[in-house]
Amino acid sequence: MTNAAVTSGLEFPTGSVAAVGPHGPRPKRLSIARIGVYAFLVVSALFFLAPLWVMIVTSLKTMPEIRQGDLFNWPRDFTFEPWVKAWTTACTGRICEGINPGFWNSVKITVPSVAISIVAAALNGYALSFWRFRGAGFFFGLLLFGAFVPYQTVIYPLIIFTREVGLFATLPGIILIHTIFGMPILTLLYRNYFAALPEELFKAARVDGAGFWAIFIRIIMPMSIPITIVAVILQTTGIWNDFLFGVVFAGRDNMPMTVQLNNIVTTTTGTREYNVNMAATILTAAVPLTVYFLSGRFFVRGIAAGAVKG
Amino acid sequence: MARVSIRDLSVAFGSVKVLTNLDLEIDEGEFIVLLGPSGCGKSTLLNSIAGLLDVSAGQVWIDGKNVTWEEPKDRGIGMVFQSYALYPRMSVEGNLSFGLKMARVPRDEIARRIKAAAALLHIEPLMKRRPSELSGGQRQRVAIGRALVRDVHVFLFDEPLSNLDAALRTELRVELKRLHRELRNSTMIYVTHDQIEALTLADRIAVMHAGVIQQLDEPRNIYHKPANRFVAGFVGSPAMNFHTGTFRIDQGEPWFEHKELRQPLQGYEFSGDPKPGQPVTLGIRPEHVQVGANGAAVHTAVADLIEPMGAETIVWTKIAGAPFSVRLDGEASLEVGEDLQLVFPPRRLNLFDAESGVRL
Repeated sequence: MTNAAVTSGLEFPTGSVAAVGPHGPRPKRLSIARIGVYAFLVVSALFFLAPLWVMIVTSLKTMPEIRQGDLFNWPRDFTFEPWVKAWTTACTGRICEGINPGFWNSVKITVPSVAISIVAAALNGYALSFWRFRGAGFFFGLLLFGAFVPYQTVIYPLIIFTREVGLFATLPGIILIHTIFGMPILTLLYRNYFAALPEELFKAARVDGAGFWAIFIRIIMPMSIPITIVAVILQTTGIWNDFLFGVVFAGRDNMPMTVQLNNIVTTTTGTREYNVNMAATILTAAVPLTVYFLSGRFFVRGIAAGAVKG
Repeated sequence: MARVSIRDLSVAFGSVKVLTNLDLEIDEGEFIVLLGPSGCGKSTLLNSIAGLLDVSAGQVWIDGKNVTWEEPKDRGIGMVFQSYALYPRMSVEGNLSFGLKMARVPRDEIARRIKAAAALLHIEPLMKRRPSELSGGQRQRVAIGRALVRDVHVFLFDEPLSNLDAALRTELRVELKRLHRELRNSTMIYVTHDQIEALTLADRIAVMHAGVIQQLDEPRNIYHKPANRFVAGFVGSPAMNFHTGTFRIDQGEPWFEHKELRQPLQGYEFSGDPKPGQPVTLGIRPEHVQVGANGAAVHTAVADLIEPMGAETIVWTKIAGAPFSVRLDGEASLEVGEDLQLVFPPRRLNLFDAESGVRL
């Protein structure tokens, strides 16, 4: 009798007994804390989106409508006129060509700068990871130190340097400047990525007879597509958004879009055309915004790679 | 024509000396295994032979040529790595042909060599696949193929089977042995920490410890006549049982004595010349212990723990206060707590100097 009681007590609960205790998947409940979190997120999102909303609706309004106030309202007399004007005929000083020369200048500056800085940084990272030479650590440290130098402190020496080598206020000059300032963070990015690749791969390629360049081009770079996407995003947005170097080093003929935008917006003759200014600003921001939207995942990965694996 | 000769080789990383004055002569067609625990310098030695590591002193000769300062590709070697190290963005075919393309071998010759290697390794159906689409065993086959197509006579293996599961490891081990037989005159140098691989594959094993080759001999001698205490303890699983005690001569007969353990050594083949009273270590492998036999010296022990392993049964007991393992037949029926009558046949014993560890 006692034996039977003991065994039944040890049995796994079945039937009605099981229905009483917790069983099956945990029930999903929308708690008050959850609702609070979502409410906060929605409000924050609206808060940060508000300026963008104002920019978009203002750029689509006519000037008389803008003067009435009503900042957040949808335009009554819907017009694309300010966009056309911003792109083709808005004035910077006495030149009235719109912002499109600036756009093409920015393309001319950004594309080569991104390409050159990435190739150079990938090579740096490759040499630092796989062809370790005496003092490689010191060299890398020195390069990283560059990431912490405030730009403003080196601008004047750089002006003298570029003037002496004849590159001041030229397209190659501004490309060189962007390449130099992209080097620390990009090298860090590539070096850390390469450090995670198995060294045996490199050894196998050497036994197979591949040299410095063959290993880089045929083995390492094909494996580096993810990190290269990250680097392209970082550099494209960074260089496109740059104002300081553009205004100092690019020269009058190569003014990037950001500098030209500033000139349009701050021109003080006549009335301020807010709708044109808004359209020009959105046009300027369109490139980095598109890059962010299309590649959010890679962008976050790049930031994480740079931040965590220092 | 592919002798490998390592002469007075030293390798140091900064102030850390990994190898010092190491000599090793490997004959043409020989399968030599470098066996040792991690950090013993066996991979360093292999990398120096491959030319992937700069040596601090000494020479490496391959095929009658001093290649100490040659690039890896010019040494006439093929190498297989533990992590396979296949080029991930190339197909199997691309992996096999990469080295040949680098060496500017003509296209039809490349195709011919790849075909031959693929047939030998049974990887023909995989040629268009990426490494990520292969299983571990297939990857390692491709890695071996990459070494084969180079048409060299010295193959270096750096723990090639360590990343595979047990069943595959056994399978590929047999294939490697077959491969070595088929590629006559190919010298193979194989690094592993797995003693089964070493014992099954090698013509000769070099057991390494702390950058020094402890013993270089045929597998049989490594197992049955270990040159020192380290080799004896490293090779064999469960490990050899050791007792450190004193060597004595009693009425003209040699004896080993430690606490209550008294073992006659009459019939043991001495390699050295121990003095009476000298501290020595006695070693006996678990499978060499005879159970229930009648002999001059019977040691009584109690079975503490029994591990049935199918083909065999390991019994753990204590002798003279130290854990002691005995390997029995798989069908032996035994209970924990049972008394065992153990006899150590003297010619199966191993005697080492307690201080230097050298075989006596």
